[in-house]
Amino acid sequence: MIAAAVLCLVLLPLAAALVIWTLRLRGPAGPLSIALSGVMLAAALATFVRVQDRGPQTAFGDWIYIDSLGVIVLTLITVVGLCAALNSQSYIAHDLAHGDLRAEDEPRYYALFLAFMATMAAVPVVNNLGVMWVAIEATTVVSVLLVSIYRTGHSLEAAWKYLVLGSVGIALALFGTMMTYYAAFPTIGESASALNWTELRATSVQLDPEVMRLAFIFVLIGYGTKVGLAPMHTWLPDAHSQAPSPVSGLLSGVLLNCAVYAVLRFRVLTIDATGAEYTERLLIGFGLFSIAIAVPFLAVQHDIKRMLGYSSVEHMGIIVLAVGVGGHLALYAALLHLIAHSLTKSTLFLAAGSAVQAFNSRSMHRMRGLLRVIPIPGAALVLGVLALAGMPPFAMFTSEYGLIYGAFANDRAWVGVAGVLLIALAAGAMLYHVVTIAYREPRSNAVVRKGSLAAAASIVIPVIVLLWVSIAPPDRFERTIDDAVAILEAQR
Amino acid sequence: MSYEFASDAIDVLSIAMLIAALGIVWTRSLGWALVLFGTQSLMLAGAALYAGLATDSPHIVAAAGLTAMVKVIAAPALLWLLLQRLPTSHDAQPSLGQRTGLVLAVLMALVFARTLDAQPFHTAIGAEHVLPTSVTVMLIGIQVMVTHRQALSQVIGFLVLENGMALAALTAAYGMPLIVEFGIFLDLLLAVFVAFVYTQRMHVIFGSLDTERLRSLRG
Repeated sequence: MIAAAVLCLVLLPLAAALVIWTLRLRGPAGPLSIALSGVMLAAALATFVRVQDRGPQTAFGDWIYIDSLGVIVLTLITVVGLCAALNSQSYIAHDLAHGDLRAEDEPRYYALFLAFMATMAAVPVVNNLGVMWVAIEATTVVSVLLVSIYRTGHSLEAAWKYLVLGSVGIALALFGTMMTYYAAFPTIGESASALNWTELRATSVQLDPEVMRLAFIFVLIGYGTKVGLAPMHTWLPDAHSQAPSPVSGLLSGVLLNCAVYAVLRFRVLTIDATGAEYTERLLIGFGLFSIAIAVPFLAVQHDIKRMLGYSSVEHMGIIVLAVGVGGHLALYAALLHLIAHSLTKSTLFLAAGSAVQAFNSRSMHRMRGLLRVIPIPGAALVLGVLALAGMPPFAMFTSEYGLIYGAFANDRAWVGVAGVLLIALAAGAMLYHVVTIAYREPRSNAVVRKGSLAAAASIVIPVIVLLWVSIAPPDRFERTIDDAVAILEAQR
Repeated sequence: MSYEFASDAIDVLSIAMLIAALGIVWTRSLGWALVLFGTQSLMLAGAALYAGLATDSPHIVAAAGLTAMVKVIAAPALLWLLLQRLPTSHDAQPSLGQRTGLVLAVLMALVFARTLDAQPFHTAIGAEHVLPTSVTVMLIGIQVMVTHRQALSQVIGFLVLENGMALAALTAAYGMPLIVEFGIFLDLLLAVFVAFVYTQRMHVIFGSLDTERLRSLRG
């Protein structure tokens, strides 16, 4: 069953992408991408239940290995992916009608969209850390092309920065992966399975600590570039703001998770080999620095999509900070935050896309009367920003509280204090903007714009799921996070 | 092949790769930079071949062949084609002076040689200087990417970084499983191809490949 699910998650969308690209399918490409995203979601949910009931699953020999941590990342990819697919049709139709996109860009968009989904879905299901690297690098190559789909100077600039910085980052991550292989050589020996997570984890306490230290710093800087950790984050606001909004939702909502996921795996191996202190210091440092860098940019931002991009830098910082603090509570908080951030950012970027198209501007000052002109996306935007600011009852309140509590409980009072201050500043900046856009009177000639049903659904679904897991989290949800935390807890 | 001979040969080739990297920092001509890069890749393939034969690892020999195909032939040919096609300046447009750039690179080499040599890493075939040399080649690649404003020159810098890494992988860390190697080369080729497409588009939109023009997105 797992083999079939993996085929649906990776090979099916890739094959469809190839068909759309070669046949230049225009009309059926949109519905096809929605249908395939639905299939991917079903496959991910089936895998979710299977992993929870029967423990980690393997398939195709040792190549596929899915545990609770992977299943969380995978499910988020497919949920956000389905919403982005639902949103794409009306979004692309609008841009085609306004001449921002050319007719031949439509099949390219859908082909790249499906290929992007497939490469992301491959990341959390493979066992071999080298193959995982190949999948993450493939996400860069495909998403770069999506960022530059508008053939303007700005989008080319964003895509070039993303390609150059992303390639350097990923190259450093590859060096870190090779160092890990090298560290494992004395215990596992030379074989294709030596980079398998299952084998590495089984022998991780015997990995050479000196080499693992070197490996981890390369992995952290490398994958950290893709996570958007400061100071390697400079490509992120550009790429996320220049991409078509459904793609921005995927980039911010779930692609960042894939890179975090990679860092999490290497973190455990490194802690097992060297003890916790080394990774703790690095992760706390990068986490706090990322939040601190994002705050001033959040405060002065006018461009709504750039603001959301900087907010991703901030929230990735929070997640990495929580992972650095460690311990059951903070790790639980980190995963909860990762889930909540995915759902919120996906809604926010899709809603921001509607707002940008409705007001024909990305500037928040022009979005007057947001709630009346586009009621559903407008309300989602306000709710989403409240959620990002960590207001109760949203899950981010719980996760940020868990992070701070965990910091104090682990005798890292200064981390708790610095974290509270920075998170509060960032929340204040976001709330200021939401007041700006929510309470302005609309222009006298403003007309209410109706979106398509699919677009409305794509914006509302993540909010509903977020409220569900925030207020009344189902038992399966909490158990899966607990299982994933158990994977992240080191052996020493 | 004797073990010692392969080990010495790899040491010599790695130093030669470092010198080629310094040459790429030095030259302002993109044509020469491509030639130097191709030569460096050839030396990399040679080092990998020695490592593969000495340790009897067919997958490293296969990786050497892949290196030869992708990095000695395909990537330089693609970039050469582009250089011929675009009526653009063949100047790397370094933002540092030639001498400053070279001094910086040599200083980096010396610092890294000292710090990494202080902790000897056991490599697959005893070539002890390979690891510090390869890390230095990687850093020089990054230096080229940062200090050269010409888009194609930045691509060459990235490829030098890749070469440094591959040197470490193939000789020190026993290479990667072959399927991973295949994936790496495929990704690399795709990334170079995307850069190929973008430089053409950059030329259409901005009329030059000077990345200084890519500075409108800020704040």
